[in-house]
Amino acid sequence: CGFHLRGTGGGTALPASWGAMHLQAASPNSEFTRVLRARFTASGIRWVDAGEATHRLELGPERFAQRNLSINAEARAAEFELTLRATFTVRDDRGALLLGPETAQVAKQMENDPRNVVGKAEEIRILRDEMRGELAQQIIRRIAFFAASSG
Amino acid sequence: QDSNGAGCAASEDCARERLEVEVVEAGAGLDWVPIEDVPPALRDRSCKLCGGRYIDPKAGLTGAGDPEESDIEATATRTELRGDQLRLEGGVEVTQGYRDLAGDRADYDRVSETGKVEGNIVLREPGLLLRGSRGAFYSRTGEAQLEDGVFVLHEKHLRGEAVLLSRDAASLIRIEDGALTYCAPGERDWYLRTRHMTLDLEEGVGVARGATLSAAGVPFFWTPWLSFPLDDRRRTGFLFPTVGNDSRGGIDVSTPFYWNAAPDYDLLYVPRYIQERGLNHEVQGRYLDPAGGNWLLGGAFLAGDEQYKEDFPADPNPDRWLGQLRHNGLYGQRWRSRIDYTRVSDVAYIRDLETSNLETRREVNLLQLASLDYLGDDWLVNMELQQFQSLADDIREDYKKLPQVTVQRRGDREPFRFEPLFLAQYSNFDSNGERVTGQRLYSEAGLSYPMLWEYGFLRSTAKYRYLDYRLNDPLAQDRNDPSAGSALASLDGGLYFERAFSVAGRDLVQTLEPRLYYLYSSFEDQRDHPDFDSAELTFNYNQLFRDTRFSGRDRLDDANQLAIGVTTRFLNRRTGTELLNASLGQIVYFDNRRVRLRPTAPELERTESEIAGELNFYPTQRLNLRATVQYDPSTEKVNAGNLFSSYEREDGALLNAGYTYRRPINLVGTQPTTDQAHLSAYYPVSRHWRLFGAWNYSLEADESVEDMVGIEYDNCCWKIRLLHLRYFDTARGIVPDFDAPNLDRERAVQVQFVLKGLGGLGTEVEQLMTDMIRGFRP
Repeated sequence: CGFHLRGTGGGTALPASWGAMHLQAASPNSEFTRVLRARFTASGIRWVDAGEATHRLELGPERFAQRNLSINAEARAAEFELTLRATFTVRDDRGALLLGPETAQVAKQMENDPRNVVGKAEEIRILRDEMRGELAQQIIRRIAFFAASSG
Repeated sequence: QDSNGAGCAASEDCARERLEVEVVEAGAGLDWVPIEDVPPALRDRSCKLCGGRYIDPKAGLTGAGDPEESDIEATATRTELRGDQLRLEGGVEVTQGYRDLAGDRADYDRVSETGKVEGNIVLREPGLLLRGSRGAFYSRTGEAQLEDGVFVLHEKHLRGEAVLLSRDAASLIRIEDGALTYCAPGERDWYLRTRHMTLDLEEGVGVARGATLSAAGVPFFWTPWLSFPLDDRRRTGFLFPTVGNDSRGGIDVSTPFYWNAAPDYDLLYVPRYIQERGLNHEVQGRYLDPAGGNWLLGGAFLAGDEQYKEDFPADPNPDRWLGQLRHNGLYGQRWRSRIDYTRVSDVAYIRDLETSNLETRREVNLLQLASLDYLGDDWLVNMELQQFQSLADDIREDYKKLPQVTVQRRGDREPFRFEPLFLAQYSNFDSNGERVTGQRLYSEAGLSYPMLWEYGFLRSTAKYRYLDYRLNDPLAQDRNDPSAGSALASLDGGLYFERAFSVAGRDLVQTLEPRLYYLYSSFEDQRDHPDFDSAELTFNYNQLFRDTRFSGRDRLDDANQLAIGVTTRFLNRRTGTELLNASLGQIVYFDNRRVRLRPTAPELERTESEIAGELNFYPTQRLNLRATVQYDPSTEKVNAGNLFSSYEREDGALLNAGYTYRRPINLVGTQPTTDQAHLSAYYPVSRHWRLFGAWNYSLEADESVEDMVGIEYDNCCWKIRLLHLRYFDTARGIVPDFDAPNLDRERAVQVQFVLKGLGGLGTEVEQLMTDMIRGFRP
């Protein structure tokens, strides 16, 4: 049905002209920035100083929000909706805007147990960590597609 | 009417009459452009409501310099120079930097640099237009005076007039005997008349003295002093009051006072009168630490709450209070600190006194947390203190972590390299109740080898987890210090297939991403372990690929299982944005799961998990749909399902619809079934009227859990919103359920009234709408 393995017929990895990028992050050592940096490195990107970079990526802070999705018969939260979002901007080596500011967002829902707040706080921590990975993946994909279509 | 007669020119009555005529008729010559002629890019919401907007012909004119440093250029049809006196006549135009002055006749003294202008005067600066019939100006400083003047502040959407209008050297506009309105030219829904008024454009604040507010020409409010903002900057003064009515507290009025003490700290004081309770004082101070942190310290006090005495006659102390400290900091990009501490006088405090925020009222616990993280290159160290204050009689307080220290190696998962894994965590759990407390040491160490190609990945992991307790059990005779260890191995692999195709003129890429995850983890009996911070994780698609079934660290789960999942995505070929993603998967178990949260719980014997599915669909920017499902093939039942869709239209219309179903199969204890529908909308029915509402409906009880309806009238220069809310309160009596005949259903009415450009009251309405209508932005 037309499916083929990625990379064997026009891939989505970043082109070679994007090999050296500079990252300007609101919080360069935060968990989210680390995940994003690692994912780019894994797809062949080298992180360099602004002067040597072919492209610059500006990354805003991760914004996490939690709201009640549904309420149980005791009028307590039965389910939470968690959203994690971040904005990113891509500039060329001279600082001219190429892409963005764009917003990437991941949403999840989870069951709540009002009688086990500590345990559920731990679960939120796990989910938030997984969402960071998905968000980073989304950002790298969008930049890769942009790079491929803009040549 | 002989209002133009010279005889009444000096009398106040006459001036008033002339002013009101101006307010009604002015429009021509005010840079007002009807919407048909406004460039589409500038047709914003306000422009649509007002049927036009002020467009400053000088807007965007850069290049023109500071008038104080620029030469004067003047043109006229006739000029005459006598000594230092210059007389200009006919179509006079004087330009000095970015400042323009036009009139019929002008006399200018070159020595004193002052001039007099007469007839159809137009004085322009970027963002400002002054017109008048007679005037004087001083060209060195830009001071100007106009008689019988009108003015327009384009960006602020304000216009007005004055018997005497002056602009001083510091760009302060003074208005003597004038009027001001936000309404479009030709409309007079409201205007503010004042004896003296100053508009400080640099500070962004307007101050009126002796001001009368009129609606539809009828004065209805007088104040000796009124300050109003001309932009969004924060400044000292009274903020919008809030007025509401709640079936528990009665009439509820607060008038916040904001003190912008310095750029890095400020203070908010809110006196609040609640009819059935008394006077509540609330204070909140904020401090922005220049090194990289921000602090918030707040408190509230209500002496001798009358309603509380009635509700809880057994409590000897009817004083209500709240204390709060919040902090977030990041120092040198390495140290991250956070404090979130709230303490209240009693379990009912939040429900009784936090009336604007339903989310907060649903809380069953108040978090009290302090944490400090070190974000190193190779290590992440976290130290935290955490406890909760219970807000429900039927829920005991959770365990306190005093403290918990975690040391974790940070890896970058660099492909084709062995990566060491290490985590150690020490926790000391305490409790106010008579139950097991103690210390716990959790550690894990291992190796991982990630492989990554453009077409897939394979990641092998092996680690050993170890858990050790020192317990204090007030009920046990013998001291018991359990420990457990478990070896874990996993293999996680996936492939990426894709194909390009087009549908409905859109170029898309579809991916197909199968993934297999094998997990083995050895069993050790942990029935004598306490449960300090663990819970069974919600089963969903994410759970397929996790290496534990539990949150927290009290259980080392046993596993011998294979998870199979597949994800497909539809991506925009140009931008990479997702149009749709869908995932489906299941776990096959090769052994029973013997480790349970409850020691008495039987082992799990099923050989297959539920099937978990997840779908996110974003057909347009304005519409999105999300669904999850957990289907049990053995009982052929859906154990949990959830569907939520939101639609947003260009004119601001919002529509959300959702449905949630969940049978409590994973959880210990008695957890009610959730079977609930949600509908919320914000809908313009005409240019000025909007209806909004939200409805949470329980299908299992056939009852509304909470609902809200409201109506909004919004025109060019004012807005009103009325809101009615019904909700349940969990605090009253025993655990309420929908069948209880005496269940209290609370009601609240809230009003919001805004005179645009001047201020208003009732910001709580916006808070409630934001809470209940997803996507609503005030």
